[in-house]
Amino acid sequence: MHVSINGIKKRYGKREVLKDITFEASEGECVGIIGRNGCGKSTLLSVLSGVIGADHGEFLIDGKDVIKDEALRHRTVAYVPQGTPVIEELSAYDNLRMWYMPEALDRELKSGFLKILGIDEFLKLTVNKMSVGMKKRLSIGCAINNNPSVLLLDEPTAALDIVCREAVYAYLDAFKKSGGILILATHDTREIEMCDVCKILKEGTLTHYSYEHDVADLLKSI
Amino acid sequence: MNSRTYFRGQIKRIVRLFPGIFALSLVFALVIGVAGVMNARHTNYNKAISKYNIGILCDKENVMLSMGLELVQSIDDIQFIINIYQYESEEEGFAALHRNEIKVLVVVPDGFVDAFMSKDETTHIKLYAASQKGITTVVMDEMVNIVADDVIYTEAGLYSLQEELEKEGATEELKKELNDKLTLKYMNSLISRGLLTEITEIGLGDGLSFLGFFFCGIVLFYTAMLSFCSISFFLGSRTEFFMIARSRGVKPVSQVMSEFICFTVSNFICAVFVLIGVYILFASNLFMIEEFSHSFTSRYMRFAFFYVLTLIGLSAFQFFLFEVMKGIINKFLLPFLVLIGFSFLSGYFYPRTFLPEIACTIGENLPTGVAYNVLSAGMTGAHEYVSLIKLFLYTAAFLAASVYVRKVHIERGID
Repeated sequence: MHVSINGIKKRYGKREVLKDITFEASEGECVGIIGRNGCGKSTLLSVLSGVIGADHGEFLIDGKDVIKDEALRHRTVAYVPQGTPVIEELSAYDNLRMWYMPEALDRELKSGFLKILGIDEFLKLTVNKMSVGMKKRLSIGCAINNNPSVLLLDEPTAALDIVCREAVYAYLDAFKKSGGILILATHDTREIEMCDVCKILKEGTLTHYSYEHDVADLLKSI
Repeated sequence: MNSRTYFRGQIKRIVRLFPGIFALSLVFALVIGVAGVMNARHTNYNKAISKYNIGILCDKENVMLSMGLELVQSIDDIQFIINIYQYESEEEGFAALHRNEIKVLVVVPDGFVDAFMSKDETTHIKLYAASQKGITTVVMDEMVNIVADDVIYTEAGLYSLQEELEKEGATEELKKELNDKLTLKYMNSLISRGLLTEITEIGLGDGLSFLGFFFCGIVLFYTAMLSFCSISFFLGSRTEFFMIARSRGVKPVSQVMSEFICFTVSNFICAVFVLIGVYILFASNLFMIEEFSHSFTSRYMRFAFFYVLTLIGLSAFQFFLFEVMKGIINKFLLPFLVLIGFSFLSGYFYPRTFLPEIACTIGENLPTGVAYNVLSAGMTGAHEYVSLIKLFLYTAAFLAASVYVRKVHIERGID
């Protein structure tokens, strides 16, 4: 599987947030999008996930443009935005039931990615009684119901405690090993270290950063 | 996730929240209902009409003046407008005027009646008015009209009599005696013919009976406030969730419609319990309004049907307000202020015809005002097609605007 993002442009009024964003990723690869707050990382992921439309460009998965082919995108791309995109009043199980068929849910909870995320430990807990880490794990668990090939994550471990972080990293590692492509918007050093390729997003343009250097050097350049 | 599972999720949400929403709606209904009923029962419409207090200072021994005062207090033109208070001295009268107990002091000088009878125009009644712009003008205008009418008729009679008497060569003494007799008879006849009209105050408020108006206003105000019982439904919404749902193809229109249906059904269930309670009150004759007094059940069913339409319209309006406002305080405060202000302008608390013309026109065309027109039509049986169309258009417009706002919030990630 191969992902190719070509010439993505997005403008809010007069402000051009994304200028000709282009990069590629292959099976099992993790691409980190790094940049300061407000540089357009979330906008890029929103465009790739179909939350907002692109003014120009294509997002090809094995040669098929999933910006145009919405059905294919729903089958192959999963997106976890910042914050906790779950319903506060429902339990973890009820939230997951919005995304999974019962059989698939049972299977995932017993031996799938949901087990790796540790969601089976707090299935009956209502979201508004959960910790931030639990909510985040649940958010990821909900988003990956379609067994995606490409996972878009916006600062996945922000504000999580160390135990929750490890659970998320374990899942991301397993996802990569299963051949999935990760695209991470982050400025967390541990997440950056996990990336195979880093791209710096600055003033709407993306520049490649070879991750042979020290993370501290990378952070200086953003 | 798809639109169906999104809708199912919203149903689960509202079901979880419903016990709290329902309990709060009952408290709201109780408070608003009790306040409304107490207000309706204790408001005496006749007392609510302002009467102008007028002081008179005159010779109480003079038969003509006494009769004149009795006349003024009994004729229909004036008895519903003024109260007359007699004073013994000018000091007493002026003191009352300064204390604002009376608006006008009428001083009838001694010898006025004789001067009047002898057609002497040098002696005048003196009016002293508290300078209250507008009110004084109205009172003076009314008094001058009434006095002028009566004086002209009286004088016309006297002149005719005197002409006839002069032709017959009557003496001055005879003329005076006959003048007095004629005037007395004229005044007697006016007094005895007072109360020519029988006034029954049914207290029409914007086309409804007095109690009907109160009922309509209370029900609509309750409906407007009902949205605050469901505030938790809006406070629990997260833009990230809308975003992730959007990424899976649940478009803003599906999201908004799913939530709106849940919100409106929740409002509807709360309202049905209240409507049943009111039905029991009416059916057991504990309380009745004129609009429902004939063929009660069919009238009430018609009212309930129109109420559902207004509930849908107002729910769309409230949904839009909650969709636009972000942040807990804004979600409470601004919709509350908007709904209270709109309710006032739309005549939920006081007939809007009492408002200035421009405010009345605005109030009539606000969504809350249109809801009022529709519901009052439901009560009276009037055919308010224009208001129904307006309500439908408002509902559609608010939903469309909510969809647009949701789209913007998703695109900008505004929470």
